[in-house]
Amino acid sequence: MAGSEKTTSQAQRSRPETIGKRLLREHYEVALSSWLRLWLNPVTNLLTWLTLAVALALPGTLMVMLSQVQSLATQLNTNNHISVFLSLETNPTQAQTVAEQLQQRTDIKHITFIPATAALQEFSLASGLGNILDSLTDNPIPATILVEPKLNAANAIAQLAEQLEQQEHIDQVLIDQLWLQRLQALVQSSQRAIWVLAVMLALGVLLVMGNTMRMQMEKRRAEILVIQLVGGTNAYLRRPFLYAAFWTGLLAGIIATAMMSIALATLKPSLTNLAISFNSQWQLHNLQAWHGLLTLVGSCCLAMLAALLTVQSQLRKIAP
Amino acid sequence: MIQLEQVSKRYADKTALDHTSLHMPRGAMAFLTGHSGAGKSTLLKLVMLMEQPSSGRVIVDQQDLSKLHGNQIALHRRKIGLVFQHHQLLEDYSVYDNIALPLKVSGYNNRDAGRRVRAALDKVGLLSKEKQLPKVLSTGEQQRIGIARAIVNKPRLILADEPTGNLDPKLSAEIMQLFEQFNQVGVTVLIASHDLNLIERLPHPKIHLHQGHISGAYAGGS
Repeated sequence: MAGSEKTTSQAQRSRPETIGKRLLREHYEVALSSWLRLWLNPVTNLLTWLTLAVALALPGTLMVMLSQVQSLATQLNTNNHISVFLSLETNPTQAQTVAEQLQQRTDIKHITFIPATAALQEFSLASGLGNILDSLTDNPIPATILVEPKLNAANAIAQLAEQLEQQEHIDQVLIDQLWLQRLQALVQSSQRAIWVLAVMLALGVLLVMGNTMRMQMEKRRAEILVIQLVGGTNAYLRRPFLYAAFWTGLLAGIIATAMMSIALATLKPSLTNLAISFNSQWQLHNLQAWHGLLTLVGSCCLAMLAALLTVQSQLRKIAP
Repeated sequence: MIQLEQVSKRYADKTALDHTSLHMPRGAMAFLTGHSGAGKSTLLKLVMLMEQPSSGRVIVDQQDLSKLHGNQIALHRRKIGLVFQHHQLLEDYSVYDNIALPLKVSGYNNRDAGRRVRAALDKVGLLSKEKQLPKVLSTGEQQRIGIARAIVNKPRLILADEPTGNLDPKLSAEIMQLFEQFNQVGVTVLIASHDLNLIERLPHPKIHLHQGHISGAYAGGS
């Protein structure tokens, strides 16, 4: 200390840092060192990232899919259909007459007439049973009329269906709305289930992250103690762990986003086929950029929240 | 510099300090003696704010320690250089990084920290060891690194808890010489030690602690 007067005067001569600059430099240094520290135990850390990523990707994928099914359900809901199946004995001319009669009704907006032969053709293509169907002498598929009612109210549609059922040559009337209502109920309850799942998995993320932080702090206990004794503030002690959590959250989020887009891309063909079988143009969309961004932000926030809670309670325990 | 006013410190099973007072002036150098368990460590812990007294006031550098909270405790500790018996160096830090730690904590940039670390290393005569890990150094060298870390922040007060506990007489004498040099430039030095052979030969005041009571130099808080 006696011989350090020279050092003092040198230090005084060098331009003093502003507080903002100093904080920026400190944060940059800590961010860099906690990033490098992550790679000291790549295997252990990779396992943590994967665990967190799975916990994030699972509800994430389900939510993205559900939101699309939901949009499909509301889209379908806007045009309620009634399917009118004519009896098998009806000949094509009679069927055509029935179709014309329906078209003239004031409570019907539009009809689509599918003659028995066309219906058979469509079915044989979709089912792949072409040869067997060819060998039949009689067409087992009835002519069908898809009816789009003028009014969308459920009771108006039911009334119309009832009236149609009384009419000659009509065998069966199906309101397509019923399965839509069921689909909507299913979507709604799935949505709740997924939220419950997401909350539970978020709790899991907090616990995994908290435990990781606790172990890291236990490993650096001696260092924390010495830093406290040489006058390190709690903010100074917290910083490396918060940055470690941020990096962990970011990497887990990136892995989760990749998992989600792979999952959606894998499910897309089979779901599209399913939609086609319902005569729908609907198809599963790939992961959007904002889904990924939301996953990253959520992942980082969860990880840092877990770190904040753990570090705070651990610091109180390690206090000298 | 260090003032204790009727300070008591009770633990669940024993009383470490019992209504005792002390007034150690600025710039003094003194030894704190007593059997192990006499309360030496407790006194140092109270000054470092690692413990709070059960009753009474501890005043360090004209600051009543009971009024410090949160970050003020950290700022208070920055004013004190602490030397431990078991040096408490971090094994995975180089000598340089160990000594630079108090400066990093106080927000020094690398250039200024580097100057101060080298000045401190020069002072303890280990300038050539800055890149090594503490475990490859001898016990005496490790203790000197611990001292370099304590002085790097230019504290006004140095507390040492049995700094020569693990050293042979020759190394112990060298360490004491170092403390005397710091004291000569105005630093207040308080050394807890029960190495009576060594401290009897040195001309500094002795503060005795016995069963929680202070006697000898600076006792009573005059």
